[in-house]
Amino acid sequence: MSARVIVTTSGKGGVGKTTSTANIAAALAKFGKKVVAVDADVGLRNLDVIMGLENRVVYNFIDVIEKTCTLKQALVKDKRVPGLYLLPAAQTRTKDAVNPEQMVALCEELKPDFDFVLLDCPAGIEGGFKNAAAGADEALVVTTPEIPAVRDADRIIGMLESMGKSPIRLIINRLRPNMVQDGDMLAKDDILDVLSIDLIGVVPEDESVIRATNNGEPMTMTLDSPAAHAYLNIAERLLGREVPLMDLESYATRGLLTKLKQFFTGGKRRR
Amino acid sequence: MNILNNPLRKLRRPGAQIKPERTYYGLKFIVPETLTEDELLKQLAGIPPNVYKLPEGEGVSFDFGGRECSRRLILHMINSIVWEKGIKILAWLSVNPESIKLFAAAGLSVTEPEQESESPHTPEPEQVMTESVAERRHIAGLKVVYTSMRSGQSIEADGDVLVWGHLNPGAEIKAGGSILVAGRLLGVVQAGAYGREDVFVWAGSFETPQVRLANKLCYADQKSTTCWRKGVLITLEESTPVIREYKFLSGDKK
Repeated sequence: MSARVIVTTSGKGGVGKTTSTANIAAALAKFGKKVVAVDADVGLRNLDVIMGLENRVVYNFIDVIEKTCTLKQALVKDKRVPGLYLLPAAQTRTKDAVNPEQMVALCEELKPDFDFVLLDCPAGIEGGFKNAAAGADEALVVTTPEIPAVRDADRIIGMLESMGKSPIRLIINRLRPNMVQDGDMLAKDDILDVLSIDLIGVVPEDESVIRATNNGEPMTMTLDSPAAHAYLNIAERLLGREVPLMDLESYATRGLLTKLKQFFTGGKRRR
Repeated sequence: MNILNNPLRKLRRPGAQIKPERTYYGLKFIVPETLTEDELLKQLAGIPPNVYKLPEGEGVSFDFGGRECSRRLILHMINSIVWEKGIKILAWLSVNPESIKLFAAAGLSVTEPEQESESPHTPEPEQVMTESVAERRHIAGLKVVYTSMRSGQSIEADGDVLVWGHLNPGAEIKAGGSILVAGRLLGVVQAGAYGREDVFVWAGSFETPQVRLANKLCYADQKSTTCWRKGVLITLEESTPVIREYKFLSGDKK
């Protein structure tokens, strides 16, 4: 077994890198793959919270690098999905605690035991990004349909290209079909026109993301929302399967109809 | 389109202003004879430091014309301009015999540097392209980039630049000559960066909020120009930026 090492990055903060990493990792594990999600955001770790594993973190990958513990000791196994692991970051250290060579060595150590190594990259283009990207072969660039996010994604793509990462694929996150229809939000094609890389998935804006984040349960574990389906589709595409893009307009329409129905029937929103 | 001058504008106003001119060895500052020595020193001190940032091996010259330069002026220039700003002065030019004599007595070069060969000088372009994987070609003084340029990527060239792709937001080109972007012009371009005004910017689709030609700065947006998202040619005419949409007649008659 030799894992595919994929970095999830964006440049801009708050676009959904960590959420994407957690959900794609969980989805890949659901498809029977052995996956480790590595939180490369040293000092600002969040992946453990989103995956609901924060209470089980004892060691982190800085401990592994500094040989305070073994890799096996630092890995946190998710008991809900077979084959899903987390390698947390240190919260009490800074990004200077690791260098690109150490990150490459860590990924090499993980490769034989997994099918996928997903690296959750910190925001920015400095050391944290360079460390995370150093160990990866492929990249997923996450952007939201906003001009600053797209510009930062473009910057990151340029840097990834110069580092020789391939393929570099795009996730458009938090798209609101209604706003796109009204001309108030960048459309998928507008973004692709600027970024000129392959699109691997479009994730619609979905309030269930907030619930899932706060509950510490990746959405792809329950498949109860449009965003969960979108992430599952992305995981399938990563596995090389041909999955058509979701019809987001129907989701937008369904959302409106559901709201109308709830208004007239007084029905409660499904949790 | 609104037109604003950049910080160099005071060098270019008609009248008694120092004028930089691009040469094969760097920059030549033409000093008007009508300026008093104090005004001259004040203007020199006010030139932004980035104007003097020249490629390695290049320098500047000062052309004083028929002015009779005093020892005080030379001493002030060496003290506050040369030593203070670290400028490499290759020549002190003048047609005034007294000035020439004074320069020579101080051991200063009074002639312009010779060209290294008899063939037309084609300076090695200063090529700075950070974090870029863009394929580049150098065709007789013209730098060609065969891919789109992404945010954060930049090119600096002495001559002309052709981008056979888009110039994305956040990407920059600074050229001593003209700039042609075949695709969408979304980033920042500066043509005639060293003072040349006989330059142009050509864009397949004009979508940038700012264009710089020589020392002129032009702002544009969708509301202020009818050329937005159209192919354009931007030139300087009597030091004023002029933007033209290209509409070619095919010659067909209805």
